[in-house]
Amino acid sequence: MSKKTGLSFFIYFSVFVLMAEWLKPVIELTDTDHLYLFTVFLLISFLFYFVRLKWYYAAPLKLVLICWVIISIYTDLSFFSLDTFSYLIEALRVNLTALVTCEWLEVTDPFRTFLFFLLLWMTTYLLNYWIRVRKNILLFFILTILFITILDTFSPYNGEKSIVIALISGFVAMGLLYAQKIGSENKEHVKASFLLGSIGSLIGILVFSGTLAVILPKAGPSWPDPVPFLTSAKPTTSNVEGGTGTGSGGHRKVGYGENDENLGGAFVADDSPVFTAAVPTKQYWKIETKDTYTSKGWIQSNTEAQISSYNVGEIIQSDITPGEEERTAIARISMLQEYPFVMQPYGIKRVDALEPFTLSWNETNQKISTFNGGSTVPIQNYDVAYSEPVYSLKALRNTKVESLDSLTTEFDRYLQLPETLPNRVRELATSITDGDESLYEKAKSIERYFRQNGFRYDQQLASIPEGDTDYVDQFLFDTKVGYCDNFSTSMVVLLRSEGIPARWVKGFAPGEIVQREDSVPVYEITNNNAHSWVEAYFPNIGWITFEPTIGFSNSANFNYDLDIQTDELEAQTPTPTPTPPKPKPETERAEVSEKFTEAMSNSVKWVLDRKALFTWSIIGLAFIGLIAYRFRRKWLSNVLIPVFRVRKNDWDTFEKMYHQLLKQLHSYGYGKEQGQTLTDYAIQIDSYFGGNHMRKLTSAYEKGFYGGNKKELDYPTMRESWENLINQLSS
Amino acid sequence: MTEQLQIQSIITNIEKVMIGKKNIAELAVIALLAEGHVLLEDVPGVGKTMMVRALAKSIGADFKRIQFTPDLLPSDVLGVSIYNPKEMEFEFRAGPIMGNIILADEINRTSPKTQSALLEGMEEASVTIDGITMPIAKPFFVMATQNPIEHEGTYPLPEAQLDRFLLKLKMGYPQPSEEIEILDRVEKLTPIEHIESVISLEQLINLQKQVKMVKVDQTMKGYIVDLANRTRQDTYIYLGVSPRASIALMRAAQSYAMLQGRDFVIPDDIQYLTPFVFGHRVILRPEARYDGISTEEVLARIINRTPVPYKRKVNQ
Repeated sequence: MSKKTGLSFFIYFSVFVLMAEWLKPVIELTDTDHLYLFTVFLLISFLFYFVRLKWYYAAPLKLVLICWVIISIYTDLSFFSLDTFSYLIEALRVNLTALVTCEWLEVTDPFRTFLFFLLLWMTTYLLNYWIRVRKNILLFFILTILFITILDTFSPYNGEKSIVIALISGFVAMGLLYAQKIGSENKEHVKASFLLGSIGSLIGILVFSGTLAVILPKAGPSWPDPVPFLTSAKPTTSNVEGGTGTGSGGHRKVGYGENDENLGGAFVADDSPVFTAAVPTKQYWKIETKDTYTSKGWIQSNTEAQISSYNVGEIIQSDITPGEEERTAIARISMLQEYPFVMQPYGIKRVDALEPFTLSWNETNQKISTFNGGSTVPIQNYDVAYSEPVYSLKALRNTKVESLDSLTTEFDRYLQLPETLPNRVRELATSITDGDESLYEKAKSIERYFRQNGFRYDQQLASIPEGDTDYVDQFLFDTKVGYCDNFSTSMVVLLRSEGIPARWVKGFAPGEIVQREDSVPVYEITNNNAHSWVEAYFPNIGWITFEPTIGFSNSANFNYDLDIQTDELEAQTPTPTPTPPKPKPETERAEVSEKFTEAMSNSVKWVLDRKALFTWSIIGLAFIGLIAYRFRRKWLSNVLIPVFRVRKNDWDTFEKMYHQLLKQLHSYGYGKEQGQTLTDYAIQIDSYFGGNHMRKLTSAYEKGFYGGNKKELDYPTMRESWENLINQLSS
Repeated sequence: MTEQLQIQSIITNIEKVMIGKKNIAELAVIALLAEGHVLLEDVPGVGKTMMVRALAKSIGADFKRIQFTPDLLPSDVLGVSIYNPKEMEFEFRAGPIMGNIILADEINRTSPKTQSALLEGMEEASVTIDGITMPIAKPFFVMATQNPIEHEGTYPLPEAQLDRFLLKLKMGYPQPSEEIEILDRVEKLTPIEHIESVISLEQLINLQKQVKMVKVDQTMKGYIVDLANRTRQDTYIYLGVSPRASIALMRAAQSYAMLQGRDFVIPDDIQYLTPFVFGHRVILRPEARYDGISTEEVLARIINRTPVPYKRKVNQ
């Protein structure tokens, strides 16, 4: 083996190693077997290219190999039988038909394998081109590294070894290729010993640095693994029913549902109306509450339900005291879907209807069901008299943490938390509420926390916690993307972590005004308005609502009875951001992760928010490009001259400049004839433009190109002549 | 004195006796420098002999002339061993081929046997007589002429023999003004008598060595081969040129490049020389003659259609 073929062999080998690194993750991630067969195919392909086997030998050989692999994997046929042949023909026929008719699912596995082989074939062909002709595989090398790093980061594939192998073989291949290039370009000037020395030192450096890099201790990653973020952000469809949604299988539809055991997942919007309400003020329509958080969703605790029955028109004793008598208003509700319960505005007093039925108020979940006889019945039209509760801000601010100690055991179910709840949730709650005096302020801080720490409302990107993942923990620390269920559940859990009794409320958001009846607005509430929020209990105050979900506003009324009027007003002037939880040693990574996910979600949002802008920008740019191309003569010299001015005065630049000039001359209609020599052409060009610039340039180019004398050229003068010609062209 | 000036001085010297035939003089010098031989095809009296003599005198070389006749024998060209009674052994008497510059006049008039004796000497740069191979002195340059008019009693050189000539030139008649100048010059004196040698034989041999140092870029070799290949594929050409023709073209181009003062070959050199190098090496099909197309036209067409390499191809 001569030195040259030896060099070439090592180049092919290292590129083969590089290429094999592409195969490994693909095979691993797509659950494909027989990695060695594909590797063998690669090896053989490269071998054929290395020995420069003519394509009319190589192609049939490779085809036979592919067929053999397919036959031996997928069938029990002997390769040298007639059946094999007819099997192949039949498979080809069936699959080609499927391809032509776009029946992608009809394509069989053997054919997919065949197509994969073809892909490998094409890739090796391209690589051979890069090796043999371009003598440069930088692009491929970069792509390989990107491929491995991206897969390592975003998929289960572990590229730890791959990256080392790829880097070393890539550098070796590039170095050897460059050596080969130098050797072939300057045969006379470069000594073989010099080349051998360079190759030797290259390998030496690589081995040394590679070993050193492997041995040395490495710092941990400065970015956390973003996979959880991405996989969780991926809208997963599952068969779980629940949340505020109903529906069966596949995608859930938004709306009211009974089962909330498994929250999360994407929702399909559904704007079918549920009811209309003629009501003077915007109301949240409460249906029920839940008390037990399971780390995946909500269930109702098994406490014995205390049920009180009321007749139509009777005053209902709710556990939320209505506001003053004179503020009583009527909400006229017309149901458009059949639900056997009452949509409750806050401060409900009584229900009036023409239809005969009884009401039952369930103390456990505050649901008011409608009965007729012994069974629940849906009612169509009813009026609800209510008076919104008003809370004294002063009293709220006087709620003391100590008062929680006096809570009776009946509140225990509102303090329940699953044992599996990660500690960092509790720590987060503490750090959010750190420094708040009153219970109310603590709750407010938690409510605000979601608005200021990169949380995002999205019905599609909410994830379903898998395995041991806690629904709240995932939302608070990993995804930060979700809808009302995420926000409200998280707030309840955070409140309970701080010892404040809280419960999860389900119902409907106010909806939209569709018309007015005697100046009373009529709201239409659709399935899209299905909502969940939070009620917290403060001793001496009672239950009060909180709205942590971004984009929704609190429905609780306050009496701003504070002595000092300059005190901040809730909702209008947000208080300064509560200090984010102090990084603790064990939560450091989570901290970074938060920032990362925040940055990522923000950037995604930023782009999504400006879809139209981007589209128009692209169209605009395309248009500008078109115009620029059309009038390129006008500006080309202004670009070309400075572009080449910044380059060095050397042969490479001059060669590029000269070719650029030929190209420009050609595009202006002064093209060179095929059989015309450069000298002849230069004379012709100079006779068009006058002067002798082209002849000067050409004789210099000939000297460098045909004569190989690249050092003695007077590049600055050439540049002058060149600029002169380019200017003449565009003027 | 640079190579170019040395060569130019030879040409200037020749021009003293040859009026208006600068390119022929140049080409003859090119052939001399490329260690090739020239076939001159022309009618008598246009100054062939004068040119060769001037060339020989310019380089101070030995000039021999062989007038080929039908009865000329190979030994008349190569030389003969004669028995010397005094020494009691055979003694070799060198023939005219042992000179430096040889004018082989009307080469087509002698028998093929004698022709090949000369041509073998031209190719091998040595002669074999009585089993003894003797090298021919350097430089060795043959200028053969043939008369295209007379066909009776001639032995046209076979194609294989034509291949031995680097260039085939045609002199043609001088322009009337040039002819008047010729008359002016010879009116009072014989210019050939006054020609002095401008370079020595050693310098000439050195020049011949220098020619081989002229760089022929890979693209230029590709261009030569491309041209050669196209003669082999051309529809008008019955027999294309041999690889020897490619070598000849390259050597001639190197020589011409040196004449131009360059140390590298450019496509222009090749284009200029192609008709002279390839002209006598291709045989046209009868169709070409019916269409009234000459060898020069066919070659010009090939040159026009062959792309001139001016960019490094990616795989080079």
